[in-house]
Amino acid sequence: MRNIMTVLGRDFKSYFSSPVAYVVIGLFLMITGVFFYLLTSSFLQYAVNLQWQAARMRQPAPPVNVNHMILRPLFSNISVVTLFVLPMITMRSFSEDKRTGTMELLLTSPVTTAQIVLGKFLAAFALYAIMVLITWVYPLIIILFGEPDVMPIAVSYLGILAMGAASIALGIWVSSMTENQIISAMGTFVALLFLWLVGWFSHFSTGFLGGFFNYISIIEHFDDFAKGIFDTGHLVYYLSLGGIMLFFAHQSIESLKWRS
Amino acid sequence: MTKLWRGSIFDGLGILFLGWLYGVSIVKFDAIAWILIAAGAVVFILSLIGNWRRFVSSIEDRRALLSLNAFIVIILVIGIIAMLNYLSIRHSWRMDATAQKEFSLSRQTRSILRNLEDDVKLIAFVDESQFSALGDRLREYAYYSGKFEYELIDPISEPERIREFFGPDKQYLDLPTLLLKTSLKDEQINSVLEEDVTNALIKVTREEKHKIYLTQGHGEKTLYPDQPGMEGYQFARESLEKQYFDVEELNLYEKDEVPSDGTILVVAGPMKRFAENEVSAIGKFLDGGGNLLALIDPEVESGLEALVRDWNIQLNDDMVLESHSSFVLSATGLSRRSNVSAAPTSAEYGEHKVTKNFRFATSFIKTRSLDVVDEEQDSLETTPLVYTSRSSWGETDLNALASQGKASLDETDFQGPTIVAVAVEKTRGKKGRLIVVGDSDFASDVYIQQAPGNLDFFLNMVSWLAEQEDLISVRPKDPENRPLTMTMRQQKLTLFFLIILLPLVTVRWGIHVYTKRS
Repeated sequence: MRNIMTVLGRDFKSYFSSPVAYVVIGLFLMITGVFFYLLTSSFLQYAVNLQWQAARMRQPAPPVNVNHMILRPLFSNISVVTLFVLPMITMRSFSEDKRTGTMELLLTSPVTTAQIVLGKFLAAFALYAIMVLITWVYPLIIILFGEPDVMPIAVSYLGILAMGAASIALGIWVSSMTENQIISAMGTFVALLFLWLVGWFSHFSTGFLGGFFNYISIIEHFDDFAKGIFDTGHLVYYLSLGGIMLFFAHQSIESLKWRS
Repeated sequence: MTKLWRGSIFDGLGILFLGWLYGVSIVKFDAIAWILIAAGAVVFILSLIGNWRRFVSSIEDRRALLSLNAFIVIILVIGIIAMLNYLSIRHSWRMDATAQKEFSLSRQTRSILRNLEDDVKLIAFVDESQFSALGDRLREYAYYSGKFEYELIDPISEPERIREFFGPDKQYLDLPTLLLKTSLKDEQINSVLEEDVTNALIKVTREEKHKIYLTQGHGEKTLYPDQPGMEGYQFARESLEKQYFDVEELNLYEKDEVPSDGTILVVAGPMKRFAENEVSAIGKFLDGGGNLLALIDPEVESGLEALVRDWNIQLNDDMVLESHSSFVLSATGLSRRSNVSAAPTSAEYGEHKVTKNFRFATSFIKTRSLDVVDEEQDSLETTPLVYTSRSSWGETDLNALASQGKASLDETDFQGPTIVAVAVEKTRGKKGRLIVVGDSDFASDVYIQQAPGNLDFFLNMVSWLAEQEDLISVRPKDPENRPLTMTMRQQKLTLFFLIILLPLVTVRWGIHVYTKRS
């Protein structure tokens, strides 16, 4: 455990000692902030129009729901933005060490490969968690000025964290295979994009294959979380995807030893 | 040349895979798919032959052995994870965290879906604005049954799909139209409500239609009133027909027996006595495995008293009254006012399939009370369904009540809580079910929709009698109002703070850290 914490601490610090973390967080906040502002202002406009129409017809205004019209689409957008931002976090985890030559030092130190992989994964996840938790300002504003249903918000965050963990693990694996950060980022991005779009293939295939494509789609599993539904099936999917990716990363690093 | 061939083993495998993918994704393995598969196989085999020596020597290599080892471990791990995921799909735990459980299906719908035996395909033609809400609901349907498939179609952007399902002449379609298809039959509905979708689901998966007969000729409620009112059961009939029951009126005096195709006989508020041959026909129907719903109002001698008594139910000669009291603030101060109502409301329900998880109040209009004759009777399972409140009683002095309009709880009266509905089921011999309610007006057109639970209670009783407890009645969930109020200034501040200030501060901090370090 102590070894994992050492690797975690070292990697986590390195994120914040370069401008990467700040730029990534800043970009992420700006994009999600734009989504939040657009959703909120169109909701307010819609509610005003409804009230105006109802008053004209001398009827009570129909109900409006911030959870349906702001928060659910917001979390769906955040999950998509995540797919674009995450490769920037994971691109350096192994590639940087490989490029600078510190990988040999790590491999010859009394730390196991599993500990290295886990430490690097947790460091990237910690940065991601911080980035995601800052977005709490959006629901907070809704809580301040409106009456949202709070439990679905918590479930959505659980989904965002679970999906992020699986995506980070994938990024770590891709990064473990190359020393070029650009290739690492692009590889992760393409893989995540594939896992996102694979759900569309399900529309063109039937039977088992359609179901399979639908199942492996990373975004399909998030939809229930965004609604406020917690399903252990989705959690198992994200944990398995994360687990298998970390296992691949482990195998990839291990193979360095006997391939050289 | 050899170098060129080296990678071609993988090229061969890649082309082979591409052919397979083409075959499955285009749904048909046509000539192109087979050409790709054949080409892939040829490239793979040729490259294997061309690189045979290299291939053999690489297998004998230690590194290849380690690669193979790692490959086997990877395949094993993938297999275990796939198994775990397969199990988790089948046995996942699902919780709807919304306050109103707005995405949850009713218990009955879930149980129907879990017990689906035939494949059901639902094709929903809806306006695009309804896609999201209906998609959410149907996704839940699909979650509970692997045999349920659905497709959402916007007929405005895909008009050819209308002709695909309704024939080449169909041009227009009322929206929403939901079409449910099984190998057995089709069913079409124009509603997206859970209740309607589930009942349509039951209809397409059920082979037979149950027939209900409603006796006539003694002043009973009629299925076809001139206009909806106290004397009519038009709404009740329509609701039953929606649930795939055939409802018909029956004059027992003419026929002398209940037709053999009848599953349930309903006696709804007779004003006059049944003739002896009619009573014996009803008795024969019950003994032969039929099911009876007897709704018998007070102040009426129906002739069924003895028959009902044989089934362990006593019809009391009374009327249930309920006293209400309230406090009124007047010039003299706070005073208590009491009044009496002849429309008692349910205070408690018995433990029975009819009332299981029933949370709505039912109200009865001029009802008599019932009693269980023998609690220990073991050839019949007798369960009181509805109790009135403690402040109610069964008034027996009906003359005084009618002439003077006065009533009070005396020694001869039945002390509340009284029972107003009882269900009986035979435990031995031929099957047979009976429900007696001391009132027939609660299901009339005037009252069936007034109390929140009257319609559901009526339908539940019929479903239980037809041994179809799965037919359901679910009230649509009201949309929840969760507003947001912001002034223009607050909106602009949000914009400034979230989109400009917060990201800028973060990036500025990054620049600060970076310049400090370098």
